[in-house]
Amino acid sequence: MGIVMKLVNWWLLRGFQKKNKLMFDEKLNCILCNDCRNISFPPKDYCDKCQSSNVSQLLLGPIGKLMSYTISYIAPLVGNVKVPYPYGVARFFNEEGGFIDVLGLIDSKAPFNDIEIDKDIHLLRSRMYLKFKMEGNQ
Amino acid sequence: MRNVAAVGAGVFPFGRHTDMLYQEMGRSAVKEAIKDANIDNKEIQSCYIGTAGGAGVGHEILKECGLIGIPLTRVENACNSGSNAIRLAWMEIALGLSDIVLVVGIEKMKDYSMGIVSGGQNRIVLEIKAVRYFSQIMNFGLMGPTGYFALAAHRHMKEFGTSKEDLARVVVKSRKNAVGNTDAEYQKSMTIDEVLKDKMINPPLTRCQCTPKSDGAAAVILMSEDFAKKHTDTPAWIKASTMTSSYITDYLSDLTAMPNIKVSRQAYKMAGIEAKDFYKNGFAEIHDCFSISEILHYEDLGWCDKGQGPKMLNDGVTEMDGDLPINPSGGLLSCGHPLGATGVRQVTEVIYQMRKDKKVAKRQVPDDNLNIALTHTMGQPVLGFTSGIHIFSRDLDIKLK
Repeated sequence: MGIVMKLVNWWLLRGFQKKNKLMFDEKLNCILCNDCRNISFPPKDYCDKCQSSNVSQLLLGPIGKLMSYTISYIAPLVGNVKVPYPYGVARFFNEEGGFIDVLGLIDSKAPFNDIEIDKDIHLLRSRMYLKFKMEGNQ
Repeated sequence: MRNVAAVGAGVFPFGRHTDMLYQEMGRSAVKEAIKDANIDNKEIQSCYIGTAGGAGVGHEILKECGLIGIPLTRVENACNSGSNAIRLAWMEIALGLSDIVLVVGIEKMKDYSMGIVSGGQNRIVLEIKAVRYFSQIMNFGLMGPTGYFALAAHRHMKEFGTSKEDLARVVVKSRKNAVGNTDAEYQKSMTIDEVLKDKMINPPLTRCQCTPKSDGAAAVILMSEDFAKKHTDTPAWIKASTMTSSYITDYLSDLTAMPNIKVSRQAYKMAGIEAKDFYKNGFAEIHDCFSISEILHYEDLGWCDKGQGPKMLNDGVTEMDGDLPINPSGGLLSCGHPLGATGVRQVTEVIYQMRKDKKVAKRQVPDDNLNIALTHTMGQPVLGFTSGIHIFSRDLDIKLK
């Protein structure tokens, strides 16, 4: 990775982490609207759906369900991601049955046979892009 | 509101035109549309140009066509730009502000990155924006449009048992319709095997299951009722124009539903029809940007139950001789997808089909299916979806069998 991209990544992470704390350990840092019960991610001081400011912190995960996935053969310019890489949508539930769907990288090795839709995934600690691994994988 | 009709159409063939300027492609389409509408340049009162990346090209095209001086509005809404331009022109006439309005859709994409086309920003800027706002689910960064539809395809396969062959069959149908369409980028038929063996882009989508980035232009002349009746016997009356916007994260929670359900029901209500009325009465040009998207649109537009899209396709309902021919032109998968031009090209297809123009002789929709038509485009302008639908009728008051 060139020096320019390293600087870009450093600058991104610095600004990004200052603005949003996405995770606490292996849990997603979400907000729950106390008026409409909608879950929003990343955290903010209002509800995405009803615009209410009556929100509270909600930590979800680390176990979720993989809703879908695909594989990319083109790397993003930012973030040190090597091709080919699988990514997917994971669903994290709260106790009320509410949920949030988020996109993230899947920690797996080619040919990615361990990835299966509707199976449990485990949220991993990550900084820029969210990262999951299939539950049961070491 | 006043009645509005689509009267004249012109298309500059979609494909690779790296040696051509915007104004050359645009002029060709506009001149053809003006001639087709049987009007003089000076009668055009206003112009809307749908283009995602062509900043300032409207003026160049109008100058080349001798139209400088009329109001000119550029419309940018990614893949939906052309359809939005049609909608604004329709509104201007319906509200009584103008009687004859020109709509141009144009894009040059072969030599440009998607970032440049999508709102004039380069890719690195878009990716930085994505990460800073945790919009990893956007055009660039982790996932592009192909990735999003690949996720939708895998989910549809898991939930409804859709097969790779079902997806490939969309491309086979598209290519079959496009044979002989000289405005299409791809005009050769393909087999299911060829589709599945093509280069893999994002599993399960192979290259030919993704619409090509193309260069191209299309133009349409819209008129008020009085003027349309003066200039043609075969107008395509616009009976509904609807649009919606949404944020892309809304659709992560249901990957197999695009933002088309609400907007299509609004359109049906506006036109005074139901989804089922299209069977044996109509045809449609829909936004088949990827093979899976055509199947999802069958379901979201209300033409079949959720999960029944592949069955509708496999039963031949959407073939040219089926009850509801879909994408007689070959759609985006075969014609190509110059973002701003697509929505306008779809309307040119409706005009040609409804009047049984010799240009579509090889792909003419059966007479029974020419009573009504629907055009549908869906854009993904970086962080959200925007969807536009127009419904057309051959008669001023919709007549159904």
